Amino acid sequence: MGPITNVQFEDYLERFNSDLIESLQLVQTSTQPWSEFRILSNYTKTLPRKYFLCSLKLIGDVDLSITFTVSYDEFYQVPVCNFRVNKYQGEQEQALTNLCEIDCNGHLVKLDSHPIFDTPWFSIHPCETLQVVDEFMGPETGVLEYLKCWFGLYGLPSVFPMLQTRYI
Amino acid sequence: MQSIEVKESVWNGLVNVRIVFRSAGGPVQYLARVYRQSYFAVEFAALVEYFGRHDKAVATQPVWLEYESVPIKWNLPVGVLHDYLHLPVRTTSAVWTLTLRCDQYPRDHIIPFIYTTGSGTVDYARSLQETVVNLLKQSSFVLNGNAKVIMALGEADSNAWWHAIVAHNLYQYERVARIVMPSLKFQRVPVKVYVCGSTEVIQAPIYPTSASGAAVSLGAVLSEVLPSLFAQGTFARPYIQGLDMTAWVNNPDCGILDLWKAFKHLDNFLYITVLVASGLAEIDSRDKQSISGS
Repeated sequence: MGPITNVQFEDYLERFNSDLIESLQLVQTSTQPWSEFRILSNYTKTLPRKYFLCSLKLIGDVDLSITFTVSYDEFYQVPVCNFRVNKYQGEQEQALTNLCEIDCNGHLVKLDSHPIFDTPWFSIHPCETLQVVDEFMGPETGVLEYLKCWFGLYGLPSVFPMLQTRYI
Repeated sequence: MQSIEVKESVWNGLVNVRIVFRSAGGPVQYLARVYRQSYFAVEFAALVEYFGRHDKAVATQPVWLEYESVPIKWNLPVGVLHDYLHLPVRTTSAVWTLTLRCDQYPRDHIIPFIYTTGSGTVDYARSLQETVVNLLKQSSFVLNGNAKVIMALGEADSNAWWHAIVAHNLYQYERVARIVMPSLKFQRVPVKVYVCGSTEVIQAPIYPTSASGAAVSLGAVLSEVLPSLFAQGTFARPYIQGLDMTAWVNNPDCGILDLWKAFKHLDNFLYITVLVASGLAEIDSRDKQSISGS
C-alpha cells in the first residue's frame, strides 16, 4: 500500500478515533491488577496539524492514568502514538516519566520530543513503522484499515497489552 | 550561497551568554560564548564543575537552564533557542542572560537525563549523543527515504563525528558528513518551523523542486505550512541562523535546498523561526530607537 499521506491521515482521524473508543477493551487476566477502565477525555484538535488526545484511567488496587495522542509524523510519514502515564496511590499522583525508558513487548519505548507539542512523551521510535505496517497491507487496503492495523502494532496495545481493540 | 565563507560564518556563529546561578551565598555568574551550531548540554560538564564549587547540589542533581522562567530544551541547537526565545524580546544588550537550576527538574517540559557516569554524576554527553543520533536518523530518513547510512556508520566514524561536534571541529565534522551524505540528490529537505510565542513545532519535509522542476522557494514553504501568516501578505518574518530572511522569501535564485545546504544545523535540519507581527513592531521600534540613539 505504501505510506499514507498527512491529508489521508487527517481525513480519517475522527472516524478512526470514534471506532477506536468504541472497540477499546480491558483484557481480564489473573495477572493484571485492573478491573475496569474509564475514558476521562477524548478530543480531536488541529494545531495546525490534526491529532487526537485521549485520557483514560485503569481502576484497581493502584489506579493508572494513561494519556495518549495519535498524530502524524511528517518526517517518517507514519502515524505515531505518544503517551504519558500517571500512577495514583490514594490521593498521591505520581508521573511515571522518571522511568524514562521501558522495554515493552520488544519495543524500546523512550521519552522523546512529541512531534507536535515538542515536550517529553513516551514514544515507540517510528523509524521502522512504515516498512513493518506495509508488510501487513494489501494493495486494496483502505486508510481506516491501515490505521487500525498500525494501532495494533505500534499503538497503545503494543505497550499496554491489557488494552486491546476488537473492531467489528 | 554555498561559498566557504558562508559555511565558515555559520559554523563559527556565536551567542554571548551570561549564566546565573542563585546559590545560598548569593548569585554567581558564568560568562561564555557558545556556538550557535552546538548544544547547551555540551557546556553542562563545565558549568557543573564551575557552579559545583558554590553549591554541591549542582554536581549531584541534573541541571537545566531557564530563560525568563521558561525551561530551555537542551536537545535544540543553541542558535535555534536564541532565535525562538530571545528574538521576540531582544534588548539592546548583546548578552543573553540565562539561569542555571538544579532543584525540581521540569520533566514535563524538557527531556530528562537518564544516564550516570561511573562516578555517579549525570552523564549529559551520553544523553545528548543519543538524541543527536536519533535526530540524524530522522533527517536522514527525510533526505534519503531511509536511515541506513546512519545505522551503518562504523563505531570509529560515529565517535569521530561526535568528537567533532563537541570540539566544534569543522574539518572532522565534514569528513564524516561526506560519508553520511554521499549524494547531493535528496528526496525531501528536513525542515522544522518554530513560531515565537507558540509551543508547537511544525515538521516540514519539503520536496526541493516543484512538478515543473523549479526550485521550491522559502516563501512557498512558509505559505504551505503557515498559510494564515504567509499566504496573503506579510504578517510575519522568517529567521534562519539569526538572520532575517524576508528578502529571500521569494528569491527565484535561492530555493529551500540551497538554504538547507548553507544553514542546516548539526542534526541536518534547517530550522526556521517565525516572528509574528506583534513581536515585529516591538523589534522595529527598538531598532529605530537604537539607530536614533547611536
